[in-house]
Amino acid sequence: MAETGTKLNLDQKIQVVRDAFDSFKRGDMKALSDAWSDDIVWHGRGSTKFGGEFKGKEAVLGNIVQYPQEFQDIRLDIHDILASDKHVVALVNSSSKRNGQAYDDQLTYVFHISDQGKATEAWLIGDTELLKKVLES
Amino acid sequence: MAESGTKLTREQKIEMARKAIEAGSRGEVNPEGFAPDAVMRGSLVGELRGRDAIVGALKKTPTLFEEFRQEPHAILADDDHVIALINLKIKKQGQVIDAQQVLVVHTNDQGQITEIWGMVEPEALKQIQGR
Repeated sequence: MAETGTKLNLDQKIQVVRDAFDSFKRGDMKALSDAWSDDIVWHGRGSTKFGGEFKGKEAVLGNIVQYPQEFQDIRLDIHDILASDKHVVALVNSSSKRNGQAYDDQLTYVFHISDQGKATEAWLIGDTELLKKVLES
Repeated sequence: MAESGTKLTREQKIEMARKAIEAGSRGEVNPEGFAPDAVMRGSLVGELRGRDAIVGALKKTPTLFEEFRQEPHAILADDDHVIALINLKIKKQGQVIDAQQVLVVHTNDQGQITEIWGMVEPEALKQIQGR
């Protein structure tokens, strides 16, 4: 991790995102939220409870912890992570179950990562209609 | 453009993608940009196999609407993928639909597309498809 004020290179930004996914996978929500700025904004898509705009660590964490509450056997397999000066994009194959029903999707996460290595804004793009069906079933 | 057999740089891939998206909004598609056995899976076009099927569908798509404009917000590339985050504007039967679109592209070393996956956010897609 670069020191405060040091501009991260693209590989370091990618590592920030990779580490955050690893934190989520092992259920370490403290480490996950440590990767976010205090004023992070999370943009969820769709009309389910996971959709909408969540501002601040507490709100974003409150949204994210509902995934393991709603779904079982969550797997997030990172297919690739790319970075530019302004964005980090993660392509993720997700699979999980809800009440025995399989829920698989290809997700695209878009992050803004600050020079201090914190996610300041994130967008999650996936098949929100499929998510809605699964949650209603 | 790199010579045949030359591995493209990240910057070259990004520039090629930018030009292809801009041309695609006008229904202009260069067949040579696709490998003969390319595969496309897209929200707007379904699953297509082969260069001719893909090129035909990409040329046809803008003609289905009164306006079809793809404006790249960001394009990223690495050795394996090119990703374009696109602001999509479609006008259909007088209704303007703004949507975010993600294109994920695999290219070979000659810069030809071997696989392309495109997703429009589902809520907007329902509007576009009149569902």
